[in-house]
Amino acid sequence: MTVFLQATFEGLSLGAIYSLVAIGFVLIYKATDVLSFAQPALAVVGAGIISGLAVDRGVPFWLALIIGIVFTGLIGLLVERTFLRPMVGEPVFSVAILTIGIDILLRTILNKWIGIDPRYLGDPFPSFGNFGSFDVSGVTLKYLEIAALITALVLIGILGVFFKRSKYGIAMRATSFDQEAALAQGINVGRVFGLVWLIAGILAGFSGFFITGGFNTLTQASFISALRALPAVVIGGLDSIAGAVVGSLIIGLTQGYIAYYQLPLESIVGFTLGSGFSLIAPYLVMFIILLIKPDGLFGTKEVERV
Amino acid sequence: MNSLRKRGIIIFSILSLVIVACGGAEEEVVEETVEEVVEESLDSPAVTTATNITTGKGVSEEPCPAEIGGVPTGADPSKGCIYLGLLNDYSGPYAPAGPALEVAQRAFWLWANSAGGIGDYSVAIREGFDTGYNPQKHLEGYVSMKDDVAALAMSLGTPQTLFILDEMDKDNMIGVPMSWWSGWSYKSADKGLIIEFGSQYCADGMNGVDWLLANINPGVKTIGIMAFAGDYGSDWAAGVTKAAEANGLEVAWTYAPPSTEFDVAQAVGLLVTQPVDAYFPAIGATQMAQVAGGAAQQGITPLAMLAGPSFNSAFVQEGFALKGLFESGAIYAMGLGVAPYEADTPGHAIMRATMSQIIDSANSFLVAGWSSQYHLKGVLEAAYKGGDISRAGIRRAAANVTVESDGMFPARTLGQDRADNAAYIGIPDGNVPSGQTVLASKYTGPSAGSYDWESGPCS
Repeated sequence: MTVFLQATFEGLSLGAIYSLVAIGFVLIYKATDVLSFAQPALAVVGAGIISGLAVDRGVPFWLALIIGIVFTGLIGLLVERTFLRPMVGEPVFSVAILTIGIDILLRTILNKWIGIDPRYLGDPFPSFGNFGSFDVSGVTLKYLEIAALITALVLIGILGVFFKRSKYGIAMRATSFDQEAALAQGINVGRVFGLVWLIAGILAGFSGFFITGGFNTLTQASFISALRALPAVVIGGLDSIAGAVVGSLIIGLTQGYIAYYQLPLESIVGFTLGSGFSLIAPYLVMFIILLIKPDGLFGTKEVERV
Repeated sequence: MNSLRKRGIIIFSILSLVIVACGGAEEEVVEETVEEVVEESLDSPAVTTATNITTGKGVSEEPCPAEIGGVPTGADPSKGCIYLGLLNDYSGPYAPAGPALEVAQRAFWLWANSAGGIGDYSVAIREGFDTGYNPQKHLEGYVSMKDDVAALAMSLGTPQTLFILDEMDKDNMIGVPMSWWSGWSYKSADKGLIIEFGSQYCADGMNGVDWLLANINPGVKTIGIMAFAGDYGSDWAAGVTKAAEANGLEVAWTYAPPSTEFDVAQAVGLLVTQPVDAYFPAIGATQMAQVAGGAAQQGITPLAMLAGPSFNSAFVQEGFALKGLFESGAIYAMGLGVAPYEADTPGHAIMRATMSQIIDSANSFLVAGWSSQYHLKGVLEAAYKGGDISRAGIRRAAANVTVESDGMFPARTLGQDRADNAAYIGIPDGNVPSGQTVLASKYTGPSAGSYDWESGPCS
C-alpha cells in the first residue's frame, strides 16, 4: 500500500507539472489553431533566467522566481508579436514548423549559456526536511512536488475564473470559437493572441521551475521533460483545458505506477517489457486512447460534411 | 477546424515524440554510396631511416592557419601542416561535453606545436563536424572530411565510431575515440585503427567493485547496476558483473535502458523497493543527481561508485542541494579515463599551464580531451621517424609503437591486443576545482588483475 501511495503521489506531482505545459499548448491551439512546439523551450528559458538571477547574480530566490516567470511570459508575448503575428492567415502547418524554429532558436541561445555543467536554480526546497522531503506513514512527500501540485491547482482555478468572469477571458473564448465572428463583435483578436502567448509563457515558466528545481538541475536536455506534456494534450483533446489536465494526470500516473511496479511484476510473471517501458508507456496510452477516441478524451468531435 | 488538418497535426506530433522517445534516427539505413579511391596502401614500403618524408592526404607543405575554432594553433609558419579531423557532438546528448573536449584537444596541439611539432610539420585540427551523436551523421561527417585529414583527432562515441570503421579501414584512417570501450584495445574490434587512451569502462567497473570492497566496506553483499545500454554503460555493467561474480556478490538488479529511455523515477523506485548495499551507475550527470537525491529523500543512501560520466563537479558546488550527500563519504567516482585536473603528473602540469590561458575551468572533459591526443602524438612522431606520414604510414606506425603521456597514463604499446586495466578513483570534494580528490591512482584490483585481458572486449 505504501508503494502504491508513493507511486500515486509522484505520478500526480508529475502530472501537475505536465499540466502546466499542457494548458499552454491548449490555450495557443484553441486561439490560433497552431500547436506550438516552442513551449518546452519557453519552459527551460524560464528556468535559465531564474538560475541566472538567483545563483549567478545573487538575487533572492523568490524575487528571481517572479522575475523569471514574468519574463518568460513576456518572451512568449514577444515571440507572438515578432514571429507569429506576420504568419496570421498562413497554413497552420507552416506556423507549427515556425514554432519548431523558435524552439531551436531559444534553446540554442540558452544552451550556450548553460554550458558543460548542470545548473541549479537556488531554490530552498531541497533544504527543507530530509533533502526536501518528509515522511507520512511511510510515504515520502516532497516539498517541491507538493508545491507543484498546489501551484497547478491554483493556476488552473485562476484560469477557470479568468475565462468565465473577465472581459479578456471571455474574449479569448470567443476568439477560440470563431475568429471572424469575434472580430465582427469588436474583439481585438491580435491582442487576444498576444495575451494567450503571455499566459502560455507564464505557465511554461512555472513548469520550467518545477522541472528543473531542487536537484533536478537545468541542463541542455531538460526541455525533453516538458516535451512529454505533448501526449497529455493529445490524450485530453487538443482544444480542451480540462482534457489537458486529465491527460497530464494520466501520463503522470502511468509513469509513476510503471516506475514502481514494472520490475517487481516482471520478476513475478517472468516476462520483461524492457527497461525503458515507463517512458514509452505514455505514448502507448496515447495510441490506445486515440484509437478509441480520435479527438482525445475531451476534444471537440468534428463533423465534416462531404 | 479542418479535420484533416487536425489529424495531420496529431500524426506529426506523434511522430516527433516517438522520434524523441526512441532516441532519434540512429538506425537509418545508409543509402549513400561513396566512391572510394584509395591511393595509399599498407603494402607501401616503410622507410625506417628517413631522408625524404612521404606525405599524403591531409598533409600540406603550407603552414597551418594561426587559429582554428577560436584557439591558436601555435603552428610554426616555416613548417608544413598535418591536418586532423574532428567528429564531435554539438547538438546531441553529449553537446555539453563536446566544446570542452574540443578546446582541450586544440590546446594540446597548441602546446605540442609550440614545443616543436612533428618534425618539419605542425599539427592542426580542422573545424569540427557536428554528428549529433548520430551514426549516420557521423558517417556523413567522416565522408566530408576524409580527403582533407591525415587522421581523426576525435571520433566521439563508441557506436558512432564503429559505424564508420569500415570506411576508415578502406582509407587507412586512424582515429582517437572519445569513448573508453574495452574493444578499442583489440584489432578484432578496431582493425588496428583506434588509438585508445586511458582506462576503459570494463576495467573501471571491475576496479570500482574491488576497491569499494577493499577500502570502504567489505560487508557489501548485494549490488545494483544502472547503465545506459548500447553505450559505455554496457562495458561498465559487464565489468561490474564480472567483479561481482569474482567476489561472490549478488547483483540484485541491472537497470540498463538506452540513454534516451532512462527513467529516473524507475531507477529511484528500484533503490527503494529492492534495496542494495551498493550500486554502480554509468549514467549521465543529470540523472545521477536526480537518482541519488530522489533515493536520499526516501532515506536510501547506499554506497555508490560512479562511472566517470556520471559525476560532475557541479555536484559539490557551493549552494547545490546535494553537496552534502555527495561529500558524505557514501559516493565515490571513477576518473574519466584519466586522473582529474589537479593530478600531480608532468602531463597534468603542462595541461594546466596551457589551458589556464584559454579557459577558466577544471572540468574533467578538458582533461579527457587533452590527454586523448598524447598517444596520437606518439603515433605521428613514430610515423615521421619512419619517413612516412601518409595515412598508410601513420597506420603502420600505430600498429606497434610504445606511446607515453608525460605520466598521465601508464606507457602503452599500441596494437598489442590487450586492454589496460589501471583505474583512477576519487571522492567528491568541493574544495578542489575538479570536484574530486583522487584516492587511488593507477589502481588495479584483483578482479581486473586476474582477468584475461587478451580474451577480447568485455561487451
